[in-house]
Amino acid sequence: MASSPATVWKEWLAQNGPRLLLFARGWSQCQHDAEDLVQEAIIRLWNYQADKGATPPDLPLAFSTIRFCGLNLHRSESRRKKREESIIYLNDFQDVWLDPVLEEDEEALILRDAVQNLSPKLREVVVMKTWGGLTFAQISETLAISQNTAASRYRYALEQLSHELRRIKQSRHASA
Amino acid sequence: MQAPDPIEAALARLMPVAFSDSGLRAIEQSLDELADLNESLPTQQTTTLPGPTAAPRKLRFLIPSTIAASIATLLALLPGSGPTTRENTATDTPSTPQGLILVSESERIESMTDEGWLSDPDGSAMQAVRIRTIGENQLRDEETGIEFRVTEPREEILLMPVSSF
Repeated sequence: MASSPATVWKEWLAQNGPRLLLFARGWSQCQHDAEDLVQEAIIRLWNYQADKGATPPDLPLAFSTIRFCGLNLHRSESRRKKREESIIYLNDFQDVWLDPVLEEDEEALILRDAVQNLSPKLREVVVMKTWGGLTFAQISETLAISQNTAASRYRYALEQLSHELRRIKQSRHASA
Repeated sequence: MQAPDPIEAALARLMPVAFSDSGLRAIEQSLDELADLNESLPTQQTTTLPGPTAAPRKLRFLIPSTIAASIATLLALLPGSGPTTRENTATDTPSTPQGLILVSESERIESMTDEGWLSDPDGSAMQAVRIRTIGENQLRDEETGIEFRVTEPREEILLMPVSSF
C-alpha cells in the first residue's frame, strides 16, 4: 500500500530533520526560531514539490530554501533583536547546535563551540559538507558560488577550527 | 587513499541535535494540514520567485490554512457539496467547478518594499523588490445563492537588473 504524502514527508523529515535544523540554526537566534525556519521552509517546499509528484525535495533544494527563509528572517529580526536576546538568555542557557557522540570527547566539545563561532559563510559550507553530506558541486549550486569557492571556504574553515582547537588545548594544558 | 583530516574525523564525532518535541509536532501537524488541504481544496497559484540560487525556481504560495479551513467548512455546510469534489476556482482560468460561479476576481498590490541589492549567479547586480499582493475571487454557489470570497495573499520578490549606478 502506498504511503500518503504526509507520511513520506515525515519519514524524510525523520531522516534529514536534524541536519536541516543545524543549518537553520545558523540563521536563527535560538533553537525555537530555527525550528520555525525549518517549518516555513518545509511548507514552501511542499507547495513547490506539489507538481513534481509531491515527493520530498533533494537536500540541496532544502538547504537553499532554508537559507532563503533565513535571509528574510534576518532582515525582519533586527528590529526585535534586543527584546528577543533577553528572552534567549533567560530560557536557552543550554542552547547547543551539536551533541558529541561520546560525552567525554574533549576535542568534539571544543569543536562544537568553534563551529558555532565560525563566520556564516564558512559555517554553512562546513555544515552542508560535514552533516548535510553534500558534494562541493551541490554546495556551490545551493549557495550560488563556484565549486572552487566552496572548496576554499571549507578548507579555510577546517584551518580555523584546527587553529582554535590547538589554541584551546594549549591554554588548558598550560593552566593545568 | 588520502587519510581523513583529523579535524574532519573530530567533526564526525558530533551530531546535530534533534528537534524538540513541540517543534517536531508543529511541523508534522503542518504536513498533515497541507495534505488535507490538497485533498479537500487544492487552491494554488504559481509564481516565479527568483531567489539566491543558481537556477530560477518556482514556488507556490498556499492560501493560509485558516482561510482554507473556513472555506472547506463553508463548502461542507452547503447542501449537496463536498469539499473533496471541489476544484481550484481561484485561478486565472475562466472555468469554475461545477456548482460555483465566478462572480468577480481582482488582484491588488498591498505593499512594495525595497529589499536592496542582490547579486545573481552571474555576479550581476539586481534590485530586489518585495511585493505583497492580495488576489480575491468572489464566488457564488448556484444552488443556494451564497456568495463567498476567496482571498489569497501572496508575496513575491522581484529581481530587476540594475543598469545605472
